[in-house]
Formats: sequence, C-alpha cells, structure tokens
Amino acid sequence: MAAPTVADDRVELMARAAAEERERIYADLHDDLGARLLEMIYGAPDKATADRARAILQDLRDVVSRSRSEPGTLLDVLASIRSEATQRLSAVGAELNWQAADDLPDPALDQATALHLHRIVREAISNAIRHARARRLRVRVALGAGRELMLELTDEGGIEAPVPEPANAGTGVINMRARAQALHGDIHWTAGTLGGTKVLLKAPLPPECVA
Amino acid sequence: MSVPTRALVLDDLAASRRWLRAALEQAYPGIVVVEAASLADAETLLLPLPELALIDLGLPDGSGVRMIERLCAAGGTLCVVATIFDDDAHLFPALRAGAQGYVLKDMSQQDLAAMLLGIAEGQPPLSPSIARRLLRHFGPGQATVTHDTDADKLTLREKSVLQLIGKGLTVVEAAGALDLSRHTCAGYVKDIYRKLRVSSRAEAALAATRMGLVGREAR
Repeated sequence: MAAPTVADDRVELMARAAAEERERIYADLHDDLGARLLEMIYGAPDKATADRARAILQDLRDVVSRSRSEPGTLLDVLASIRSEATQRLSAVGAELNWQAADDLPDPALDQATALHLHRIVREAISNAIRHARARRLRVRVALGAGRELMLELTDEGGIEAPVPEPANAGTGVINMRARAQALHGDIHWTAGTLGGTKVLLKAPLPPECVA
Repeated sequence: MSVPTRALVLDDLAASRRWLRAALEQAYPGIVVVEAASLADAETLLLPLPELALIDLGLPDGSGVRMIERLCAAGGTLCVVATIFDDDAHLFPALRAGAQGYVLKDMSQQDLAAMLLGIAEGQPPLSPSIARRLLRHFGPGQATVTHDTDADKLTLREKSVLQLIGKGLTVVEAAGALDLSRHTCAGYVKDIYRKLRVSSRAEAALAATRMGLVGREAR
C-alpha cells in the first residue's frame, strides 16, 4: 500500500474538523434546546401539551443522532418508528396496535428516506393525540400489489376528527404531503370505519440488494 | 438488589434534578437523594457511596461516563444513565463503562419510577438501535478479537433475543416468540449487558497490551 500522501492527510484533517464541528453543534443543541424542551415538558399543564414538546424533542433527536448513525434497512427503520410510537402513546395513556406483514422486504434505505418515514408517522401520531385524543392507534405495514410500501395509521379516536381537506390543511398535513412526494409516493386521509381518521401512505421501495 | 436507601442525581439542569428526584421518591418512598450539578460536585458526595445513581452524560466539567467508571470501579452502585438522547452512539460508551440501564429525561414521573424499579429488579430497557449495536459488537469480526473464555460471548438464545428486539419487538413479545417467560427473557438482557462490560474490559486490556502498555504477566 502506498504511503499516506499530503492529500490523504488533508482529507483526514477535514474529516476530523467536520466531526468536531458536529460535536460542538450537538453540545449546543443538547444544552440549549434540549433543556428548554425538557422544562416545557415538566411544566406542561396537560398530557397533550407535554406530547407536543416531546414531538419536537424527537425531531431534535433525529437531527442529532440519526444524521450521524448509519442508515438502516426498512425493517430497522420500522423497528425504531414502532419503539418511538410505543413510548409516545404510552406517555399519554394510549395504546399502539402494530400489525406488520410477514412478507416485507428489507432493502437498505438512505438517510433521507428513513427520516421522511419517521417524520410522517410522528406527525400522524401528533394529530391523533392532539385532535382525536385517540386512546388507541393502529398501524398496519404491508406490501402493495406493485411491491410498494403501504403504511396505514388509524386512530381509534375518542372524538371524531375532521378529515383534512387540501383547502384547510395545516402545516403538519402540508409537511406530510411534501414528504410523501419526496418519497415519490402519495398520502391520503379518509374517515376510518370505526370513527377515527385513517392515513394511508404508499411509497415505492428501493430494490433489495442480493446479499 | 435490595431497596436502595440513598441515591445520587448528577445532572447540570436544575429542573431535571427535581424531576428525577421526584421519580426516585415515588419509586422508593423515604429514599435519601443527594444532587450534584457537576462531576466535581458529585465527587464530594460519594461518602457513603450511593446504592443508586442517575447520571446525565453531558456535564459542564466532562462526561458522565467518567462517574459511571468511577462508581463501577468502587462497586456496589447501580448506575443508570438519565439522558435526552437515547441513540446508540450516546449510550453505548456508558453501557460499556458499566451503566446497567438508561431512562429518558422527558418521560413522565410515573413511567420513570416504573423504569427505575424495573432496572433495579434486573429488567433493563433495550431499544432496537441498541440491540442492533450489541449484535454488531458481538458479531463475527469481534469474536476473534477477544480471548479464550466464553464469559463475553453471546449464547444462541441471547442472540435471538437481541435479533427480535432489534426488529422492534418488546421484551415481553420477544419472550412470547421464543416461548420463554418474561422474567427469563429479561434475565437474558441483563446477562447481555454484563457480557458487554466483560468484553469491554477484555478489549481494553488487549488494546493496552498491543500498545505495549501492559506486559503479559500484568494481565
């Protein structure tokens, strides 16, 4: 193997500088935003308000941690989404009913795809908690006829939440649409058969690598 | 572990210290809680050693991992990380240093109290990303690096538990899938954490030997 060149040293130096910069930003975020969000959660007048601050804290976790860990496969990402959803719903006294098909493929996902999936589900859960005061959320993950990912979230809401229309969509819904588009997929809201709201995301999956 | 009578809360944020103290008092009524905002503060509160310590990682005068190492070397303290960030990059060094579990600081006091009771009873929490990190740690490449005893290798059962939790199952669900009792499955998780500490110490010794810091006889 060739001896390290000046260029190699330079690359290494730059990589180290970038890592140090990232650590510094992380420390700032932790001390500043993290502390303020915790104080909001501790001082929240009710569980729904605490959940809103928790959702922001979760976004912060994405920025800090997911951007520096290696992106996982589809099943890895679904596992993290499930674990986060369980925690959040349990904090407001609601239950998660997770139903994943057995035949899901397990392709590697890039960082952006993983982040979009996380954020879409997080937003759907926020809506279920905030608007519907759901006691139970059902998540179904399956493979569509065209081998696309089908992710369906139905809140079994305490009160009937309005199905969002494009005309009066809030920023949350607009963001979810934009993320679905970024995944080259689409997202729909319908009234659930049991009274809650159903969100259905369809998005194509990258081909699975042959190991 | 018997019911702890004295606990240390090490966190630089006053609001978090109050929150964690309240959770501790809920879990263990009558417990004496001492609070420290820095490693230096904590150092003055270690006589007698606390039976339980909740430790934040990002402290003004260094990493909480140092206090975990310190307390684990002294022995007798159950160290639990109290953190905002529960990803493997943040938690793994603390678990390797001897932390026996972690809690998220944004959890409700009831959930925190329940988690603390669970950890003290040998039911440490394990997230999917940490389970996968553990699998990589104990994976093929690593097995050859570490030595001659099996004290730090995973059994097939332990590996299956990690694989299921890595895929998003809870400990209870993993127990069901493997036809184990919940208690037995939690015991495996506890053993995995213990093996992580053993393998980390062995790796550190091996690295030291390689660097010529320690002679063979010193091992």
